[in-house]
Amino acid sequence: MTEIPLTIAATAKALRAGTLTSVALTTELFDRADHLDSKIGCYIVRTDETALAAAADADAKFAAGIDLGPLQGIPLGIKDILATNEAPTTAQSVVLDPAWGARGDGPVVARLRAAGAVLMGKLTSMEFACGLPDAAKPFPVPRNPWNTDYWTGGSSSGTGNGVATGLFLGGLGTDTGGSIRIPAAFCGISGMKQTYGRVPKSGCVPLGYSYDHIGPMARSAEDCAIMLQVIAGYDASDPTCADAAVPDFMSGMNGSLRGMKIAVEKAYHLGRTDVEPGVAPALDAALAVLAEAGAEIVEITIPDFETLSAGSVLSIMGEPFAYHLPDLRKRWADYGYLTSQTIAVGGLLNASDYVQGQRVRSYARKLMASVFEGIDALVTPTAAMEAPSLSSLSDAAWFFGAPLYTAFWNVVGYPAMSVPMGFGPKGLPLGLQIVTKPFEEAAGFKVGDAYQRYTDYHIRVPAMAQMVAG
Amino acid sequence: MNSTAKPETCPQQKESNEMTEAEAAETVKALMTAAGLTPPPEAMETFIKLYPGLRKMADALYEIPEVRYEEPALIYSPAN
Repeated sequence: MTEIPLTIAATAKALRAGTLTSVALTTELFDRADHLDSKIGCYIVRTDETALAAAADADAKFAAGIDLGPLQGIPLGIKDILATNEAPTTAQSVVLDPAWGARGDGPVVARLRAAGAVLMGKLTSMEFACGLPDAAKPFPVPRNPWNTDYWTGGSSSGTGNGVATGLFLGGLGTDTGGSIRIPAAFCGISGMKQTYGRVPKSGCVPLGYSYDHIGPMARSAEDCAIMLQVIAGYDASDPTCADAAVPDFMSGMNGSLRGMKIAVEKAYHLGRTDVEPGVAPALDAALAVLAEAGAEIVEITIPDFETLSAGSVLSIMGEPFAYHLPDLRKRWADYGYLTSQTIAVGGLLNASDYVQGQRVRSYARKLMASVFEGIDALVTPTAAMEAPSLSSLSDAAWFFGAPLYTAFWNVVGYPAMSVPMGFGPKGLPLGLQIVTKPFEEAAGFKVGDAYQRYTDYHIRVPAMAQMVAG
Repeated sequence: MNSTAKPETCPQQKESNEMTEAEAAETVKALMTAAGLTPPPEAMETFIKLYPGLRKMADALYEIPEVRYEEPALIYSPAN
């Protein structure tokens, strides 16, 4: 059995040291998938042949002294809402227009490929990146690798459970209201939703045009930074893509947070009656770690935050509803029953509500600029809960009541990352959300990386994957 | 119209605060019909359950004083 490092950074070193080849690595990870995938519902389609060819090409380049950077020879998974050359895109739906699904690489996938990454296959999602699992549809139900009776979170579900079980070392997710950070938190891995516009989103089936992000998911903050370094940057195919310089996201990672001021807001995030036990102690423990790393911790309050947070979910709903309305009229039953319910909630709001949401968005952006004036980062629980059981997800109302703290950051477009911050009483992972100023992802990575130098939650492996990995 | 006048309670807010299940059902049915949708009964039950709370959340967005003169975040530009 081939010894596989847990992270992209460590694997990149092993590939360059010659203790591992990309072909051996890729073969081993597909072998793991043979054992685990039926239990966790990670892949929609595997692309073994093209992945092994890419791995062989990466090895040949290493042998020839060609080094394309840290993703050369690294196995990655792609959420099946992103177009790729190897396989059609389904968006985990029978409704998606097959002509759209037949598109080839979007810019982000093309950048990974050009960097030498080995693309292992297309991964499960919630249908159209929203909704909840539906076993009646012809797609796998993604399950939490820490306890398969529980949900992975969504919608980047297969990226979450695949990284957690080591079926690949990182992957792409998408995030319109939390779909990178929620499965990262529930599966015990790291995930970054960077600044809106930092990464081109063309090649992704749209959900909420002004809220969608494509971003990295991996075990560590460092691995997410390695991936973002490759996928970030302007592309004219996305009119909302920012023509902004891409900095070195890893330049500040030295384990020290000395000189940084990190804020926490507890009144709203821990004040709800439905905050699960384990969340507050885990957040306090995380704050103690950040202080030990040198950060100054300050507790703040944010005016109107409860209204803004609740309202942010509503303001997102109009865009998916507009996109899906023609199909909902003709093909309601072809959607998963929880997908159609979730999207049609947008029909309970009116045009003025959408415009008002966009006016509130302007205010929220100014308010956050003021909040972040004196701080370097804001931390919150990603969600004030462990993953819910699959059996509890019976209707779309769940989304509008659960203590999830991600969507507001899609509304204002700020970079927000989730890193593992321990486990709750049910034995399932909890997430710490780290938010920084627009285009200052490097500060978030610095905080996440420092936190992970003091903790080991991000490299813990679910029991089912430990058995397979030996 | 007096653009600075602000009623203590707007009609929508009053309605949502007092909404009964029957009123929610009637409103949801009208909204779905207007959208050209005929959701199955279980979806309608979810919408009726959700609607009063959603309406209240949406109405709260109109009650933030600082938003009174804000422009929407999505701005059209004829040059781009």
